[in-house]
Amino acid sequence: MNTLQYFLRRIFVSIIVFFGVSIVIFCLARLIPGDPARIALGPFATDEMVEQLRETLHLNESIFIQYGIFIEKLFQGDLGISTYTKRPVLVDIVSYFPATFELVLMSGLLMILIGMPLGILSGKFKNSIIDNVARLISLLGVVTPSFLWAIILMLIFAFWFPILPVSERMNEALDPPTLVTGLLLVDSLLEGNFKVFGDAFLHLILPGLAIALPAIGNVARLTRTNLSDVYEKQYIEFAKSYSFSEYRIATKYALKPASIPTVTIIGLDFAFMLGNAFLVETVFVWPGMAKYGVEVILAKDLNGIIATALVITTFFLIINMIVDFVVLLLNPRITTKD
Amino acid sequence: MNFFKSKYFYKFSRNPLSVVGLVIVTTIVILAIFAPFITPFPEHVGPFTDFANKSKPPSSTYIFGTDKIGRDIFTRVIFGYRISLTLGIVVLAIAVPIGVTMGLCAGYVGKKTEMILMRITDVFLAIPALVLALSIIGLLDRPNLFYTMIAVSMAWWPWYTRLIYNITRSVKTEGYIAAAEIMGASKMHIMFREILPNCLPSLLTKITLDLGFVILVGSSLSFLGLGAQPPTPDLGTMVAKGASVLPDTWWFSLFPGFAILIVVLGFNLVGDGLKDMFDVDV
Repeated sequence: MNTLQYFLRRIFVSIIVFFGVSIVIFCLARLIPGDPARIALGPFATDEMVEQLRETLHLNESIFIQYGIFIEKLFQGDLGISTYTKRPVLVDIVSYFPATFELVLMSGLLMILIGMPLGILSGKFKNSIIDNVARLISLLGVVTPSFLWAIILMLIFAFWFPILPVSERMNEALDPPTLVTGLLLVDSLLEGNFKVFGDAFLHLILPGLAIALPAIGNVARLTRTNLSDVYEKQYIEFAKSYSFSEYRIATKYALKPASIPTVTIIGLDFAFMLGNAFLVETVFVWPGMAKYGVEVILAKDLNGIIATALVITTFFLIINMIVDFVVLLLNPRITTKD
Repeated sequence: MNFFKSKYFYKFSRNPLSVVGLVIVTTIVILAIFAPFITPFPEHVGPFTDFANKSKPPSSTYIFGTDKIGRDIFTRVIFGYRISLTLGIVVLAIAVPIGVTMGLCAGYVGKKTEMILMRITDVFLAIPALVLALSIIGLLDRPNLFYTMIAVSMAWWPWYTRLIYNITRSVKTEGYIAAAEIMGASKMHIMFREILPNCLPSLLTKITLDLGFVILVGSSLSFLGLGAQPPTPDLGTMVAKGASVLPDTWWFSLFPGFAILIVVLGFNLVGDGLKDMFDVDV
């Protein structure tokens, strides 16, 4: 199997999984007790109104036809009307998703930029003070709920030493850049507005860190284990016997194979971080998809819930595909397996 | 044979952190079981009010302080552990049997069964666990502890299918499986009597680690107001209530928050110890 076939196969599998996910979410929404039309209209609606809505929502058809209609509308970009915001769900997603996208990417960046070096230091200086401190940080990262991180970070950096902002995406006094991508960092750069860029960046740090800390622990732990495994391999001994410099051995021979399992797990860490976004966005009043998700869940907005779950899952599927391609670049041998 | 002198315990206790974890877990379980007798103000668990002592900072009488209607936070944290531990045990009692059975079937029977079961598992794994649990709770009518348990179980079983599937695949080529097949043993016998015992060390380790993580996810859901409803003393709910009044009355949310951290840490350390003891990777 060559690389192209591998790519195509991977994309094909993702599409299949996407349909699976849509079936699961659709079934959950339809099979759970309670009439969606009744829930949408509330307890004071008359039976005729409910019956009319059932008709418009095709709830009287069989479940297979309902799913067919659901998928057809999905591909037309019609996700229905949110009963919570009274707007088309697609409009809501377009306005909320970029905030979450930006935040989670920031967290991903922090996870790699902090987690990997922490793990490398730890693996390189095994059982030293650096190692023990790094391991303590990773352990605490993994076991602390991210909403607690959010609260602790908020207490330290916003109340005790007020140096970083803790709510919304940017200072209200500044003019937001014209909407192009919805990502404040990108939009402000396109305009050359560095004031907004800096402000938006500062706003990203604390929530990004709160989401990333549990994953940082994971990445650091894994990197440490893999690096020490690789350092026991014969080819490292061999490189040492050639008296290559420590630096060359580390960068050229050890890091690449040691990073493969870490990169593989980064996909899973993103799932974890997307979940954590739901907790952290609530604490930091971040106007993103996750906060929207929590609101529609509390409001029992069926269309909103389905859309949130689908969008987050699709985002996760795409990240997973990217991760798989990165793994392929690091380790081309996998195309020859299975 | 004395377990504490066995080679297993030696391997487990070689890392002092595992023993620390065991002490933490044992203490919390004992505190939770005997909560009504140990806590200083057991009557503060329900809808109790004492406005004379409201929002008191930590002191010798109220070691974690009191909340805004004068209830002792320490008492409520200990009772909160009861809810958290129950949640962890119930969720795994639902998720593990489902996951294990699916994993055994997929791994041993193979062919179409394998394809169908593993694709279903992949689909569930593709939805981030917390998002799946959240959506399920959102679709059920009113959030309560029982729904939280169901929702978290639904998000948790695929991990066990994965784990058991991998072990089953590597074990099923062993000679004794072939021997059992030749003797005419039933599929059920081979799966549950021959293969399953091989999975127990990994299973036990994963269950221990997961007890902590299920508690973490459960508290995350109740933090969002989607778990046990007041006046039930739930740790996540307590953190959420306190988060809105930061930083003045920081003890409202920090102590329950650290209580969650400690219990997850405890199970995690014991789990890591078991990993070393059984020499498994989960």
